[in-house]
Amino acid sequence: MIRVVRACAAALGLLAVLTLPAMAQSAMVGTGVDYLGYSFDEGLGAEAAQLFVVPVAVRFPVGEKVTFDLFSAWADGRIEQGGNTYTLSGPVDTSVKVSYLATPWAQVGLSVSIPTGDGTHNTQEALVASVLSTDLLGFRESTWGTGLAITSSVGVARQMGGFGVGLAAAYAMRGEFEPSDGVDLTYQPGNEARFRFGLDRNFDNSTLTLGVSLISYQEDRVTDDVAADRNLFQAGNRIRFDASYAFRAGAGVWTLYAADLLRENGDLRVDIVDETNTPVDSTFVQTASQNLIVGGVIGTVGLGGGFVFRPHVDYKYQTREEADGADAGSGWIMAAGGDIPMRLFGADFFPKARVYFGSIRSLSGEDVGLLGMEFKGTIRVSF
Amino acid sequence: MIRVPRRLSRRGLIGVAAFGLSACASGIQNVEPVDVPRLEQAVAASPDDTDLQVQLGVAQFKAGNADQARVTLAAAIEAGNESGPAYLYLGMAEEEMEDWSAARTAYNRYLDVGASAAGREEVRKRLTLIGRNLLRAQAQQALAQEQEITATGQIAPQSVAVLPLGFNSARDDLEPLIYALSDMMITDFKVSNALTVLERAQIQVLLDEMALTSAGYADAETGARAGRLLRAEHVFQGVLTTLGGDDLQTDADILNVPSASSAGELTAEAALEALFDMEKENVIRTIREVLGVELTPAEEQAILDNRMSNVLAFLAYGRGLRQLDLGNYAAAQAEFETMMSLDPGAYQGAADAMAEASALVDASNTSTTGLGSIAAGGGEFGGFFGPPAAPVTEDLSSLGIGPRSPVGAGASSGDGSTISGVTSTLTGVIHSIDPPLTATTIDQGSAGQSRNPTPEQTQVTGRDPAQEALGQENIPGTAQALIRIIIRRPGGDQ
Repeated sequence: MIRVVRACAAALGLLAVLTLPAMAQSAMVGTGVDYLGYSFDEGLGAEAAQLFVVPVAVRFPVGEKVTFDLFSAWADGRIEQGGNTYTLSGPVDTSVKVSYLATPWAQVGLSVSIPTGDGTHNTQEALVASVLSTDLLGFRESTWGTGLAITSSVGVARQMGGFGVGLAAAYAMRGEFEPSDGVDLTYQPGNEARFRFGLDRNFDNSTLTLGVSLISYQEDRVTDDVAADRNLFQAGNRIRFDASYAFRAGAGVWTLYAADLLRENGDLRVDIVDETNTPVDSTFVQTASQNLIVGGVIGTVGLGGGFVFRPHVDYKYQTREEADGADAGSGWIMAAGGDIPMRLFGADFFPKARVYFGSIRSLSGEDVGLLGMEFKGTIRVSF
Repeated sequence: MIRVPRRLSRRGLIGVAAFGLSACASGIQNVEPVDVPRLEQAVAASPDDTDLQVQLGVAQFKAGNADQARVTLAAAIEAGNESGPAYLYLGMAEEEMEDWSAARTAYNRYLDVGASAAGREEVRKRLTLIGRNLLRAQAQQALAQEQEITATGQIAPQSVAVLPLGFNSARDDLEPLIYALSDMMITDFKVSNALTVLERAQIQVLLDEMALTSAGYADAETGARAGRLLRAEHVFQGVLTTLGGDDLQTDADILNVPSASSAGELTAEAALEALFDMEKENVIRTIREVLGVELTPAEEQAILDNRMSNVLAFLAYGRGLRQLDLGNYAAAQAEFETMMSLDPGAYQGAADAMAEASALVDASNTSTTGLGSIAAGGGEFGGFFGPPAAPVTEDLSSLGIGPRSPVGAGASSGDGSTISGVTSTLTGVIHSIDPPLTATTIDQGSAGQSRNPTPEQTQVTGRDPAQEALGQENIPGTAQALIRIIIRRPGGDQ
């Protein structure tokens, strides 16, 4: 069944791409290569991790009010552990989103995540997925597939006094998927509700934006050999505070930004079963709470001849706290680099490189150093 | 597996930086209207850089300032820039200014130096359209200078202008014959190298400008006037009459323009099905008896062979020619297609007209902007690298920043365009909780300057449920398993 859905979804995605030229003017297509890799000092378990992604993104407006976005990618993730290399590769889920600007101050959106990626992993692939999902490392893909998801959103905004004020809400309905190859287990992630309040204001030659977002989840459920459709995990709420400040400095624009993403602890239900695998009771294990602080700056430096270099420096600091007070997984990463946007045979080309360094705390409480590199080359074509 | 080296060498970093800076190698890049201020500054700073001048001209043209663009581009060419974009956009600017002659000159030069095959093909079609516009302009100029032309009395020796015959009949369905016959006669007269035969389009445009009616073509004074304006020595004019049934008669007068007198008259009759025989008789007798030019046997045979096998096809051809003259190119093309279906082996003149109509349809359906896009898509612009479009960073006001912008106005929409009012605030809040995944790939140009930090920057990506539930998204390489606690019954299996 899942394969049928996946095949249909892939066909739908392909059809959407093929019909683009007839449906829209001034559409944009973006693709490229995206590499992020780390080496870790001894003590974590993994010695290296990398992700190579070839994204394909298409945006096409229909009239002035409707915009379609189509995104998919092929990704190859690898980790090195104990001298062995483990790989997880293939297409990821495909996202199709349609946005409708009902009025200049109200917008609705509907997006569908089509399960074109394979979210069912064997033991080795699961190992890769677990490393790539490390929040602090910031890999853009870690699962390849999490089942069908449909997200609807609505937002409104207006001017009040000297401020632009915006409110938005979104609700995501998640479909089930089978995460483990060879294990009869169906995972049903809980639906998500997201809310956002944002403010912005101009101050002479600069703009300040402030915002707060809340994300809340229903319980994740599983079906396995113990019982069908039972609660497994209650993910903790997320709260994000963010701010940015954009201003002119010389000939360029610089933007300072910061965000604090708080994640409450989650509750994992653990079954207590008898020797016949029959549940007799359950208990809960609390997963770690987490706080991730991000701060950064992006700017522009003229290089002459119309070229600019856009430096991008950011710092991430993460704390995690288990129920027993352990803080494994806490750490920090500093990244520095930038890109030089340019035209390449009529297309926009964005080559980017950044260096990462930092540390992450191991289970033994030791801070383990890491070093990473990011290379991106994105091409964008407008039609 | 690529391992990130523990120590990045200084040489390696310098190499990366050098690679990035090598991207600054200059070439003529495609630019947009927003580039005008930047390019004006750049040209002022480097007045000898003609590539920059060309880019400025292109940007000016795209900004709708064709007059300024042609000045800039002409100066760049004058200074030695012989690039395809320079001639292409100069042609487009001249076309916008309706200087057809200058446009034709620039486009012809582009055909020599243009890099885009698609652009050159489109320009060839465009030259057909410009040729027609140029003929009209020349006709208007001739009429404006009629007295001067008449006074000088300059003519081209042994030149012949074939005017469309007048039509004297109630059979409107046969009227297209007068256009088809004049076209066929011109083709036949051209067989003799001793004659200079004026093109049908040139004659028709002049006649249209003179606002002559078909009934007036037979008038000797009108024919003489047209002949003087065309600088033709002889004018073939006459009337096609239906005699009842399907019989036709042509009464022709070959006018000697310098003497303003008749050089000879011809009358021929034929049934409709023998139309081409009648036309051949008129042509051959005119050449031999009136103009006194000998035809070789081969030339005579070529004239006799130049015909259609189907009168209905010939009528469709005549209708097509008239639609062509009226500027209804698509209708003309449809008539020519009818002609080809009725007589696939139609004569050479018909094939030429078919190609002309096709080119005119394509050219008239393509704006100069479209032409520029076609050429750009075909690789006209380039060099290996070039500077980005200005919306990337240069203009702060495009980001909604600055005293001219009210709150929420003009903020970046993320794709380099601008959106107004509260829509920017709206987009910001929606994208914060339901971002299109295309943003990371497509919004490179302005993601860093959008009103709200991007999800990528602030690490708000989608939740990874299975990994989170298992507590595996925290420490690389410490994968865990689902916990299940098994309580054995006392005395169970033991």
